[in-house]
Amino acid sequence: MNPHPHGPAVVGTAGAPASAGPPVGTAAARPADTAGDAVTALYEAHALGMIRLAHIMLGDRQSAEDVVQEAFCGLYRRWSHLADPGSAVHYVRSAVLNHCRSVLRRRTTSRAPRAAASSPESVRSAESAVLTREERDEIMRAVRRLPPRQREALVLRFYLDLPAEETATTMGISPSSVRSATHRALASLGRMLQEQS
Amino acid sequence: MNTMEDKVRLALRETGEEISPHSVPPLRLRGTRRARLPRIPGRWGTWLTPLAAAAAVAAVVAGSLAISATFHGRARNTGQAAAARWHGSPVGPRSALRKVPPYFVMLPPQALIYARTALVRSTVTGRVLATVSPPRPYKVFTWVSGTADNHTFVLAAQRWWNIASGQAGMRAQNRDNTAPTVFFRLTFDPHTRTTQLTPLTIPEKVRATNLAGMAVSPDGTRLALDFRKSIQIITLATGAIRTWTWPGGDRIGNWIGNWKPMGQIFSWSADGRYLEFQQWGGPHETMRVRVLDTTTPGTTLAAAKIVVGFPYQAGTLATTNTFLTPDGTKVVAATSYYPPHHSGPGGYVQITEYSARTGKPLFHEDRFSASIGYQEVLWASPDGSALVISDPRGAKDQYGGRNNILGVLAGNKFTPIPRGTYSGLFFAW
Repeated sequence: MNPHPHGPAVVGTAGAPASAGPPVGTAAARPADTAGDAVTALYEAHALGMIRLAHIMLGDRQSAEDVVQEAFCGLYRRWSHLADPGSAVHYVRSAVLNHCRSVLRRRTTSRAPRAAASSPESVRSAESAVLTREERDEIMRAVRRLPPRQREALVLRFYLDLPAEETATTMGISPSSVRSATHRALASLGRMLQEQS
Repeated sequence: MNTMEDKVRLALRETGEEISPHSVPPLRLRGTRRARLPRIPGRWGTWLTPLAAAAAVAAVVAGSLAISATFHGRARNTGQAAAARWHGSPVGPRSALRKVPPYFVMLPPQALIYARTALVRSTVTGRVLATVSPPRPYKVFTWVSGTADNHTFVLAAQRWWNIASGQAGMRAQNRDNTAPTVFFRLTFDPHTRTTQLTPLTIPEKVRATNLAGMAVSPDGTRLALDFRKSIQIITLATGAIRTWTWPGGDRIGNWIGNWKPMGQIFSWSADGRYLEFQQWGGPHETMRVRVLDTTTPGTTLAAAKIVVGFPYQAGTLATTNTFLTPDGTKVVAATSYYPPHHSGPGGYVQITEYSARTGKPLFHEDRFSASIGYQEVLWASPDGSALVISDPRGAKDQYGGRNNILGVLAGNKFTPIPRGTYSGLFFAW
């Protein structure tokens, strides 16, 4: 029941991590009386990272929040069937990516892709002269033009810093396919950015 | 920053950081186990189904009207409730700006989404009267709260690093995660337009990611901190800490704060006795507005009186931000209503005032169609007759809604604060 589809500008703890909270699997392993408690604990530990991941994939905050909500609700519904609660985070991450794929598919079939919504509040700091905002937006536009598999591989490898093997597990493909998709993604990005400049 | 890989890493990280840690909405598990409608067997189903659907629609419409008439409170003066779309209360006179304190502090987004400076501004003219930066080594302000004298504010600050190329990943993130939050008292002299920043001594280290809000007491002697699972009130002169938690230890179903966060997280009664907060989660995921009597002994948050509850359910009012009037008699809430079919027309947002004694809605005002935007309550006069709010009257945004602006809501009229376009993230009067 978000009061507004895109919500207010927000601020919080500076520089807090995408993956704040306990290490992967810890929250699921703690004793929890009910599935709801366990899933809520997981959500508290990992929702931020998941929303950021979905936001990068979709370029739209509201859709990102919806996708993550849906993924955790899916986990809750299937909690009793989960063989290993320690793998819940991997399950949710895969679910988030699957939902992102669905959203992107719906967008391409129903309407033109939504322009990357760069938040008005994300103003560059004076001290970071390494990448201008225009450069960043250009790169993100190019990232969002990549085929889904390449985009996912790129985000999992370079944003979450996952090794190729874990990326492969999350995407449901082989590690060599991950490496190849990443390599192709970088090459495509280079071409696209060169064309734009 | 030479390779494509470095640039991509940085771009991804900065894009991710557009989502701030405190903007994560609460998890909503209720309703995920959807009840299926029983299938009507045989030939009866062919005509009973549309009949049942029509009856359901009629019931929903009647229910909505009944809810709107009885639960949402009585409109103050206006008869706009029947309109198909709502555009808020009419614009009021400039004199209304004199009904609220003359100065406020805002934290504008400057370092990504964080404030490198705090701006002291005039409520009447909107002009920036003073600019304050955190002393080294601190780089950004993250929270602000004001006392009743309108010259004294408390600011939270912390260190902040730009994550440069090659630093992406868990190590850099963990370093940021452990940044401590420190607190400063900001005093503003309106005659000389000078400010003074004095560090406050907080006995326990406050980790940045643990802090979800704060509010200084009206007399400036105590500071309430929101740690999501607990509330601490620190007596600034002595460093004494009182902590309230949920009974039974870490009940993960409950947390304190508000949605994004929006507006103010806590509000105090004028005598500094009562602290108002929102409790999320828990049974049926009902959001409850609670008032804690800070003078009574005990450490349990369950002792805080429930003023009003907002169940997470389409077809009922929800709220994002609440504020106890300083006289302690009312709770002002930025509320929203969505019809049972969430995407359908008829949703709206409005400012609703509740009796703090009975929890009943007293009246509502400044109603907007939900598609236009959202509202926040930022300050209330002693009896709630004048409010500072933000509402969606600004320029059109890229989603078809409108940006927020600041203004004074008094007598069902909204007077914009000059230069009050919603470019800041936190405000305190």
